[in-house]
Amino acid sequence: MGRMTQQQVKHLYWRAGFGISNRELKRATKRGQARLVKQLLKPRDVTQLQLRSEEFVKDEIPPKKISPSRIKQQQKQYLNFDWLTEIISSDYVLNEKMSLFWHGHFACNIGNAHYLKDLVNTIRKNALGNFDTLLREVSKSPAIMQFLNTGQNQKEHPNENFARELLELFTLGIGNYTEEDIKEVAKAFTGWKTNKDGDFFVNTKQHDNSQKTFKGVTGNLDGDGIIDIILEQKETSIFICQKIYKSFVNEQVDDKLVELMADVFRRNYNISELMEFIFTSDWFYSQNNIGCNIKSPIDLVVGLSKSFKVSYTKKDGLLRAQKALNQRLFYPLNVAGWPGGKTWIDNSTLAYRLRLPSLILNNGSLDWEDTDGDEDTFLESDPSKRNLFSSVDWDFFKKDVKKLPHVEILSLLLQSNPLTLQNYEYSFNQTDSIEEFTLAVLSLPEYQTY
Amino acid sequence: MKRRQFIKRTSFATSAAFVPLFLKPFESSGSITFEGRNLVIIQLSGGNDGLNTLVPFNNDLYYQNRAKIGLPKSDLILLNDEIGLNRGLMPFKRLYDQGHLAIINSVGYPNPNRSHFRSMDIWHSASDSDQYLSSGWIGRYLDAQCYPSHGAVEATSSLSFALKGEKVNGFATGSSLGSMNNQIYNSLSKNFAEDGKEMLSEGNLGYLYKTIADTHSSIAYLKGKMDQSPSGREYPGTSLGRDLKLIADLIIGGSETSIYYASLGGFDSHQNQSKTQETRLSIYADAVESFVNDLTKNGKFKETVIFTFSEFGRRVQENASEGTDHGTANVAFVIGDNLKRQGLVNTMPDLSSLDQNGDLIYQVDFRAIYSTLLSKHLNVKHESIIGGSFDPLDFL
Repeated sequence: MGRMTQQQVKHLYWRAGFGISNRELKRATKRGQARLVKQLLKPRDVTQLQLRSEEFVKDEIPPKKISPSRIKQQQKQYLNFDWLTEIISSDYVLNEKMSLFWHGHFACNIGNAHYLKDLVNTIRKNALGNFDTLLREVSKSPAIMQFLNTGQNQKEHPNENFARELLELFTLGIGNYTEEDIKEVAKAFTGWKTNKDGDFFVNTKQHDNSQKTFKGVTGNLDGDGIIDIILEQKETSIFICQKIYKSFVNEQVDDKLVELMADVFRRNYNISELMEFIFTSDWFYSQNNIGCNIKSPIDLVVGLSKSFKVSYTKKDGLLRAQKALNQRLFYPLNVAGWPGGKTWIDNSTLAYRLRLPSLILNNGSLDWEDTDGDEDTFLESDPSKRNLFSSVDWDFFKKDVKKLPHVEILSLLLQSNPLTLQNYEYSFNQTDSIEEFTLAVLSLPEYQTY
Repeated sequence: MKRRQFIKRTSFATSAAFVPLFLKPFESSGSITFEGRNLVIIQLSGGNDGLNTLVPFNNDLYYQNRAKIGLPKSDLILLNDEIGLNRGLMPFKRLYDQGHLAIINSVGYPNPNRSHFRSMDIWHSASDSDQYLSSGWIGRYLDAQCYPSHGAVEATSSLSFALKGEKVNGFATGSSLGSMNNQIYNSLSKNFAEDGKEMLSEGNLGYLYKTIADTHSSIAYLKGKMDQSPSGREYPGTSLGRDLKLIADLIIGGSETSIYYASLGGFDSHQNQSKTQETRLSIYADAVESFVNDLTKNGKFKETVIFTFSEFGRRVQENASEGTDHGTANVAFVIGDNLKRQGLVNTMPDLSSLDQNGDLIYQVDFRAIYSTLLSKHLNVKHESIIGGSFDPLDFL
């Protein structure tokens, strides 16, 4: 495929990124597909996220309530805010999109902000790199080791938590291993430790040197040996590609296409090559893959914020919005991350999703209360203080869509089935301002899908 | 138009002219044949350790396996000469003495899965351990009864899989129920028209429209009922306390809701289990006691059964971190005014006969409990919801 239609270009930019401006769209449509995809994949420097200092976050805590755990909690919330605003401003969109995918895949919820910062930097560094490297670095990260109790897995007392999640969630997927496998794998990982600085090492005294058998291989296997075997299994490539297909192509999995992807992936586990294969395949652009998926809350927030150059003056608004929408970075729902698709939607989350554009673009406030208690004391109970602290550059958007008829603004913003769009056509001329028209379009259920 | 006029801080900006024309037909046409009874499910998430919840303090095997975290008799609330409750469950001794508590041991299912998510899925969908269902058992109950969304209400900010049916989803309140006069639904539902039903595909977009329509009607209904409950009733200031208070508001207000759902997390005790578990259990029991007292005072306890479960129990042998790893069969609680069986419904788990992982072997399939609750308490045929192979038990 050489040239693409505008809808196909938008499809690519929504799936590989967070949407596209009118100006970029016009330019991109003149280029061929291969060149656009190359450009999206072109390696760039990834800014490392830093932790806010203790001194800095202390200023945000009432003096009486300052404690080490409260400081860490503030640092974690700032890490969330700093990554999210980095995603909003970054041009390396595919790398951030892919990082979000791995952030859910290697789900980790701990209180240690320092470890979490290292983990997310590891993920962002390798997001489009090699899955083999990514898997090993993540497995040896102090964040995952703490979260999945790897360091407590000892010869006399195996702790199976990491072994199970490694097989179930990170690589093979349910149904592709036995309970016996988990016991054997847990034995192989005994002795994996972190020192007080969080650096990985193997304590050979705690390693179980007995013979272990896993997937037909018998020997004194260790952790890296197990990962070698895992990567030789076809099931690993299938499992990862299924998840990537659901997230980047269509929530309804097509097994044959996943098989094709897995064949590409298994060659050397290069993530960029896999994504290039997807984005240059005709099937990716087929009509039934366009507008079919439900945006994740992060897609929704980042997409809006990019289109309207929204900046956020305080972290609390963005954190609150993420929580109400049920996807908070660094707070996965459970060890399986976020299941996505229709599960984003229930009566409560949908109400907030539909209102989000007017909240962000109108600097509105969120009538939402915290339900989890203690941990999230940042949520103000005073409604007047619950605003999103967003600042919008309408002039940027208006300049971008200058002279576009309303109907074209609508098709710039929405990816859904044009058949459905006909229902709105009668009222195109009834509104008189771009702002009002745009907010109306963004508040439609159609904006929730891409 | 001036920018100031346009930007209203909390306004919902969709102009009514934009509302699609084909929503009305999707408002749920379900009708309730409500008999006044309701079931309250409380989920303890993370895998509560049943063996340290209900402790066999005369069993040497228990202390052999749990040299560090085994609870001594002196720390327990004794129910009889063999068994004691975790100290966190003090209010349950009162329920036990009044005959309002049934304890079912060794609840589980064949070929147990020790993953939180998969095991929770199995409990939520009422599937076999190697079977993947796309709907939850409470959702299927709504489907079978042709109930609207508010036939099952969950007091959380997002809806659990258990409440998702093939056709109907339950209703998640979050704590936003109080501020439910949400303009979005009013705007989006104002201009419904009669045609266009066929315009909506089975895909995600159709799903969004349907959810909007369902929510619109449920909100109005539930809010009306809540407003009828008396004010000033005290509950613990925990999340579960707040959630059970909301459920009580609806029950006392006369909502025709058959199933309520609430959860409490924090039970995944891989390390330093004893203190954490006791705290979590006391949060649970204190909230339940307030709830039972509230319902009793308002004449509604007779109509209510409370069922508590966790996705699995924990390994009999403690781990090296003074905690326990994921296990299998577990203890479940049923609380109600009209229990046929009170106290211990079956024997304590057999610690001398474990599976090859060193885990308890289940005696009671959780789906038989679901069948019992559905057929004997809610008076519906359980077969179409749970499947035919799980006969009801005799505790109700």
